[in-house]
Amino acid sequence: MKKKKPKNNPFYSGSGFRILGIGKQEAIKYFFGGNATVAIIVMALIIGFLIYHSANFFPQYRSSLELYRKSGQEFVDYADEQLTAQKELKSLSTQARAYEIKERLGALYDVASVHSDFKAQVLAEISSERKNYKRVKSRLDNLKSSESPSADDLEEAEDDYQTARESLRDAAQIAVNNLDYSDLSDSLWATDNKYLDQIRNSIVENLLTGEKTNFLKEIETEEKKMTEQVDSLEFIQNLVQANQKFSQPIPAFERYVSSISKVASQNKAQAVNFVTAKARKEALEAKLAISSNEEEKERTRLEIKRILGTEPDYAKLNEPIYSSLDDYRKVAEDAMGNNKEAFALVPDVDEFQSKIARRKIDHISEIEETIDDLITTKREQMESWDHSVAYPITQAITGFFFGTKWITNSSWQDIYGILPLLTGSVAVAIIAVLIAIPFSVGGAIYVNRLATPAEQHIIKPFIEFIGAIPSIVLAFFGVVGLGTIIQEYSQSPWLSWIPGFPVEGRLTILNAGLLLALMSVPTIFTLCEDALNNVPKAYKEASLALGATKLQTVTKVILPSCASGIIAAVLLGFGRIIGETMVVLLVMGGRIAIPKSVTDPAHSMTGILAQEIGEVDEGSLHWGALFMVGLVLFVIALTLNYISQRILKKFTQHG
Amino acid sequence: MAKQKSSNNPFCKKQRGTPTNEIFQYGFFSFATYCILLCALVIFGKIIWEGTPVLLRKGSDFITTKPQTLSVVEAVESEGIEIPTENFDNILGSNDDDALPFANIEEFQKAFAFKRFSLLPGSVIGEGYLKNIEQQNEGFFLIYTERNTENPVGFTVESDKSISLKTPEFEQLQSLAPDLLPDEISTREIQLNDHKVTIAKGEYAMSKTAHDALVPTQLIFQMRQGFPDDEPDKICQSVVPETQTITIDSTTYFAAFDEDENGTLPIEAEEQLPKKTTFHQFTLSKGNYSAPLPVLAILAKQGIATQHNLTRGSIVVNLDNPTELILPAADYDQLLTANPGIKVEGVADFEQKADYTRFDLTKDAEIRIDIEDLEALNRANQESGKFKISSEHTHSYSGGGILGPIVGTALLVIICMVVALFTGIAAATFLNEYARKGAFTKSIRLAMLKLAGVPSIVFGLFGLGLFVMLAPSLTSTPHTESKLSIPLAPIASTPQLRVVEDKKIHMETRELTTSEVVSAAKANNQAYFYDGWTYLSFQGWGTCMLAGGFTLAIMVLPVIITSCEESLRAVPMGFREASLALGATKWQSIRTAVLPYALPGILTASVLGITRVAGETAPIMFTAAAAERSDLPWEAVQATGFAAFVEFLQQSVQALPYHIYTVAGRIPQSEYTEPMQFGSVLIFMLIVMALAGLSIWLRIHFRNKIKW
Repeated sequence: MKKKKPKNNPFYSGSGFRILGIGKQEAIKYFFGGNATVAIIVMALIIGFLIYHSANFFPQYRSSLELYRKSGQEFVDYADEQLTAQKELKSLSTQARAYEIKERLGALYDVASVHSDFKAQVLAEISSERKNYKRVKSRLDNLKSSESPSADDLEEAEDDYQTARESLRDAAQIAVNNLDYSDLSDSLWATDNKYLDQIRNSIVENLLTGEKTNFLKEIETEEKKMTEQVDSLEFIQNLVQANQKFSQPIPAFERYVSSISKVASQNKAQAVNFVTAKARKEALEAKLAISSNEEEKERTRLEIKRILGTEPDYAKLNEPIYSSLDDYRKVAEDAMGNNKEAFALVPDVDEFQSKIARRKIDHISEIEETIDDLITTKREQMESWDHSVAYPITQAITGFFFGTKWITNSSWQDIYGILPLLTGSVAVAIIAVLIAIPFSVGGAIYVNRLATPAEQHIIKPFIEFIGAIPSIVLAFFGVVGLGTIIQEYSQSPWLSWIPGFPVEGRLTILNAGLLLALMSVPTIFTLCEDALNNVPKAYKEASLALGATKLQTVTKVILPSCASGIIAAVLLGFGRIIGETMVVLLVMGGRIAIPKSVTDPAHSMTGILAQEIGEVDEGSLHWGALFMVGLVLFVIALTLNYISQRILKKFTQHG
Repeated sequence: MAKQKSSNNPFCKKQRGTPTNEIFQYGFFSFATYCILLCALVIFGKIIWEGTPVLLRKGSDFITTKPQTLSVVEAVESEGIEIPTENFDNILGSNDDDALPFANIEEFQKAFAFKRFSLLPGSVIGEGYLKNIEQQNEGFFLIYTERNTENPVGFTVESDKSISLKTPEFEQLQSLAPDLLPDEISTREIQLNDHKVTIAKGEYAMSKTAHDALVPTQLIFQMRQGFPDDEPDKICQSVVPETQTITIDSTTYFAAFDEDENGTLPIEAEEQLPKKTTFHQFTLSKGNYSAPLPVLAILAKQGIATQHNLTRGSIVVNLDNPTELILPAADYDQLLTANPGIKVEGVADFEQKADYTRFDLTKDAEIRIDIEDLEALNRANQESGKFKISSEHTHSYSGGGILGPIVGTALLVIICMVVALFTGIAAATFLNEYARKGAFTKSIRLAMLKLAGVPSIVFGLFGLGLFVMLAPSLTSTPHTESKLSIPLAPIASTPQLRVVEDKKIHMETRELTTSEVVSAAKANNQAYFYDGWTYLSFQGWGTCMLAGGFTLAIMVLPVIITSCEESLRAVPMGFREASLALGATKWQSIRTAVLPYALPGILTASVLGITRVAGETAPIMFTAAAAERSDLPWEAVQATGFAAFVEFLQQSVQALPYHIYTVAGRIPQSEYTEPMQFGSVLIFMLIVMALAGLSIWLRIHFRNKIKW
């Protein structure tokens, strides 16, 4: 449309206002245009803020790590990693035995804990009767022990006592009969009802007498007997011996690590003190300059003089660490020798009946392959360690992107490695997408090509409706509903072929993945449907004319021709999920470690941001690290978005 | 398409049944579809199934009360427990139907003695006493401008009290309040030598005791490291940079140079300076006294109770008119004795009657009770001692009530939609009516597309960085951590003294540059400063609903712009052309011939936008949401006029999704909290789902109805 000059317009009466040659019409146009640029400005600002707040992170992280090296903490951590591996071996072998015993004892194993669980529940319900019973009983006892009890009183008290006892028994009986295994918080209880009645009777008896019942004693002896039986099996004995071998070097190793870590933390405190001295001095000098109070000035001058000006002598401070190498060699050799013997003793996986125990043994053999390498590399690192080597910034950067630890608020050293968070985020997104693809793509095909119009009218709005469920509602469902369901059903034997089953905890990647799958269904479904709609009608008609059936047309003609549209949809769905916060925060369990299977708990990039940024000071190292995570997340989401848009564009042009 | 019958197809020779693999495929596709629906229904079902009973039991109270925290107390059986009727009703509401063993419930009226009086302008009252008056009189809030340290203050000695003072303090007492001192004063002399010690240059180990003792002295020593809080016994290295000689009193001497202890400094040379300290002892007999403030400060150190602020002084009441107030009689008496400078008139006794309920507890019982009700119950039975608790557990948010979160969410949504619709409609109008195809519009569309893919938590980070911490605000008391404070004009009304004290404002009277004032304020540990200028301060708005609303608006903007543009595009070109042909200007035709017809579409867009923002948690987590808040946003506003509006907007609010996050993920779970979570989630889901349903319905409705 051509720009009109108001003067030439015969209908235009008023002149309106003009500022800088801009009339009313232009002003309105520019105003609207200004609002439209908000999108660009916001995009630029988001990028700007993320970069601005994270820009300082790597230099800051580098200097923090340099102090970590100078103070000798790095050396200590080399030793500590070996100790951790050793401890894990010990705990794995202990756990394997415990799980095996549990498996072989079956229901018997849980009787004592169910007994006490039930008893606690009954006690809560009959507290009033119990107090009454105790009162009456103490009155009776008092009367009996008094010198000359009157017969009437005694009789009355005796009667009271009997009624109280009866009412207590009745109340307990009613309460205990109402209980069932389903009331137990621990769903691991084997569901055979063999012991239920006995437990009920035993609880009532126990409540009245206050002593251990015969049933409990029997169970105890039987349990002991069974345990001994299991322990006498040859492979368990071997396992126990291996466990002893594993634990033997631990005390000496622990003593060694704690002795050098004491030195290192002392060094660190001095180093930090020196590094912060300059800032403190400047602050005090500024205070001195503006202060008007003579007494205060005097005080400030003194404080300035008291600030340390000389750098600590790190070579001298680290002397005990360097000289500890001999001790270390002794300890490490001891550990390696013991481990070799122990690994030979660890029984074969097939001997175990419990699935969890087998998993632990598998884990031991994984460690077996790596622990010697670990000790040798760490030893080399320790031998060649030098506190004075400068810490290059590249190492800080790689440490962030490939670091496997995310440790914050620690009194030792904060370590920021994004890998556990990234793997958590990606793992949950992949699971969610894998689950969502068949349902959403299948659903889209069904609704678009196969369903009756009536079905279409119901299903399409309904799926849109699902898209509007707030993520926090899904997260809540994951915490209170889905977690328990998965955990319970994963115990059943016919599902045990699935890797990672039975599930140990309620909050896992799988749980979050299922919820996120439901969340991504509407996105993928809608985009797939669009893609299906974009397939030219002629394809379908040609295919049908050639005699293909409806389903043949769909699977052989239409699906291939809109494949790229579906891929774009899936990628967009993936990008949506990876940026989702509440479900992964609440449902994924919040353990910061690289997950080994889908049934492990994990943490995510979005989750860590939501959880930690509220408690961090602006400008601190932790703050920078979190914004760096935000930047990574932003880049990932945008890349996915970009790729899918490109595919989509090509696809629509092509179609 | 009509189903084809193969038998009528001349090209199809053989009639075959549907192949098995096709049945499977068909089965799979329909299974996939219905599986999705089933999953969603299971989730809805679970929440409705668990939540409805809670809502039915709680009734409308669930929505109309603030989040409550209940205690579960085990009460011992007792008779004649008294409680205000209002609290009694609350207790009945908090517990299940008739489970409580209450008996002999009777209502009666209990009378309390009160005084009604008028506080006159120019009175001088101690800080603690003023606060008590403010607590007892709802709506009375004194913004004072002056404090007074000259005026005498009063205090009460409950029983005879023996006082022991060193000479300088005693002399001060003697000169300021000679009447206070009794005739009988005994003196006692104690020999406490001063020490002159020389410490040689060197590096020594030092313990925390020695360190703390040496800090107030003139000795220059440098610590190699600070004492960690968790290891008070640690010995740290210190450097004495040069040989020094200092004079210290005996207490310091024994703490810092005790040779038997670890971590004390070695002494090079020492000399004793004999010195005697005199103590004056006397007994202050029971009664009421009046004295200058410094005297009370000295006596307060000896253990005399007072509610006066001993360093800042009393408050001068700057009311324009006498103000009628009430106080319990006992508090009133205390007020008069403690404040000789108070002026009152029209004192009248009256009795305030309150509805009370007396009941018996026939057996030991577990009662769920709100914290406030429990306090009332304890207070009412304090004297009689009839209400006894054997155990108490607190379960956060186990009482339900979601008024605060609902109000907060509504406010956030309103702010968000005002901002988003204004910008969104303007942007859509530009894109659809004014803009021509070109690099500019292309980049706008690209930015919008990208914006739609940004994770919501990143919007949260953005809102935190921009609105919470950087957005400019016009103020005369900027924050010391402000990114940039630009002085605009040397006019600003002096903040009220009370505000200065509450907000920690550094008042600067000297002529200094802004940066000097900032460092002066920081040196004094004050959070804000005032130097008579009005500033444009880039300090952000803080965690508040305004910041949260803007963040949400930015997040929802792409959705709003896209759908507004769609509805504008749906208005036929003929409307614009006809309007322009009739001589209307561009803006006139947009205003009269385009926008009105796009309104239904814009309405749909805004409902869609509300659905999106109402359910979001991540962007408001650190821009607007408060986990705990006991009052509603408008109840906390104290300013008047426009400032009240600003103050209102600058508050953090509870929001429903964040509340659910708090109760489901951050507080300890128990059997008492879980039903309430289901109730909250159900309400939240119903609201959001109703909005979603409305937006879907609106879209279908308008699509079918409007045909140009």
